[in-house]
Amino acid sequence: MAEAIIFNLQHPDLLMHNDSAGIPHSHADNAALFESIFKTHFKGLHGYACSIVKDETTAEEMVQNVFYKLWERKSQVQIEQSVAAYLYRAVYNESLNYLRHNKVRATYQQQSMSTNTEGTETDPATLRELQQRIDSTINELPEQCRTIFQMSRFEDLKYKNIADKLGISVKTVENQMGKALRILRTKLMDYLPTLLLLFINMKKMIL
Amino acid sequence: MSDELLVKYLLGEASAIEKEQVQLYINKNIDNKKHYDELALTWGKSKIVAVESTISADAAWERFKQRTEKKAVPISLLNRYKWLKIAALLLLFIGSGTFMFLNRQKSDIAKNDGSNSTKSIVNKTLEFSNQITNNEQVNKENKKINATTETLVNDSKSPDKRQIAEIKISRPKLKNNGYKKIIASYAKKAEAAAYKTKGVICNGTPCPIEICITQTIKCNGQPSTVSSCSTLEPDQEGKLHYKTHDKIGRHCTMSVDEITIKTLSTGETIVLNANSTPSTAQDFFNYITGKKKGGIVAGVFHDNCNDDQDCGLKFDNNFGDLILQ
Repeated sequence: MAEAIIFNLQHPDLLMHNDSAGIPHSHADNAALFESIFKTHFKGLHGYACSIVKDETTAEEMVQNVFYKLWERKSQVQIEQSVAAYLYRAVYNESLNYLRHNKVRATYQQQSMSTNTEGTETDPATLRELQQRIDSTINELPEQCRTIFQMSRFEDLKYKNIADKLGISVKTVENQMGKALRILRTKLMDYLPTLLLLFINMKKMIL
Repeated sequence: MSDELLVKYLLGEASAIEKEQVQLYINKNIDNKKHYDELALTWGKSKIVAVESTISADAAWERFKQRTEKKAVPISLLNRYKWLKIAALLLLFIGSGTFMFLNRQKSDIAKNDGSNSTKSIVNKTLEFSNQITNNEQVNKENKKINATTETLVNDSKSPDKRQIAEIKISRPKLKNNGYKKIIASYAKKAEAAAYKTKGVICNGTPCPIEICITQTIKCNGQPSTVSSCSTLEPDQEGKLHYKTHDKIGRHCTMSVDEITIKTLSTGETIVLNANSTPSTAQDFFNYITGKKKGGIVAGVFHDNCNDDQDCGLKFDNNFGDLILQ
């Protein structure tokens, strides 16, 4: 079951009610709950933001901004979905807005090109191109599809965990993962024959 | 064989029966094997772009706490006086606004023959909501708007249900007393089908909608909220009320916090805010004011939009219209 909470952010105190408990918490409990939510989701959200903005410090700023807006908002905010789903979506939007408003696309592409390429046997130039292609394809995936792919691929979460976190069905996770891989495969089609050949050769060598 | 099942198998998520099905498929012919290998390779290679967070959550929390503590500095005496000045100005605004409102109400009553009383109630409320107010005032007004809306949606089956809608709004045509004018119309059923909508507000038939734009105006660091609502009749011209930069003063900033689009007959509402995807309230606002042109990436902002269809907000370059679906 997904965590379902309602944030009640009436200035200056932050109050949060846990739906599953059904009983409003005290201010201290709420602050502790906020801290726990922050710490639980920070790493995943930070990695997610990093994959979009390509900079650790900026990524942290994106995540901090999302939490800060929640904290700061004076009117009542009700999140009628899972907390993780809300946070991932908010970080996604915050990061895209950052890229859009700060015109960092050039830097982004440059940094994207210089990402670590260790531990691979393929020709570095091909690999760099492949990496760029994967990167841009992931960036083009629809938001939910991207989030699910990110959670599965980079956070190594199982379908069930993703579904629970995002408050969606396992079937949806299945569909979105199929969709993500289908899109990636199509976009990487030019590179696949070479890679496949390398892959088969490597397998033969191992055997 | 679906890619979904192949990926499920690849990730070790498949059941025993599904595993058997996939293995049969892979061993059936070389093309199937190639297809699976390509997916496997794609999955394997996609790991190279993984970014792992190296920042400690505890350290990040400490930084977050510092940030919130900075914000909680008590208001100085000077600021209090500043606030009083603003409050006095606001009172002046509200007073003059109420005066105008009452005057207009009188003329509305004079014009209205009583046959369309529901509409006049809505108009009164909406006109009233156009005044600059503080938060408390807005809250009062919101209650008033809600109360009025409730009387209009007595037969509502699910007033809080968020649905997908398809609405076309052309770009502004002219200025009118600080407000810009837009034309709202509704896509025909055939058009709706072309965009593969999962459902359409009002079931694809014309119906009145209410668009509310909530803006925050910050002057010298002090925020005030303005909520302006407008009802738009189908296929008819209507004014979309909101505050423009030229009306708020040089030292003030303005942001669009939330835009809600509600069908009055059912209460179904679309909410766009800073976190809606793919378009935030500010984005949507920029499009309807014509400030921004070009494509919005389609995405999701309503519940349970999880299939392969393009869901969300689209900008159709062919027609120059916004299509909300």
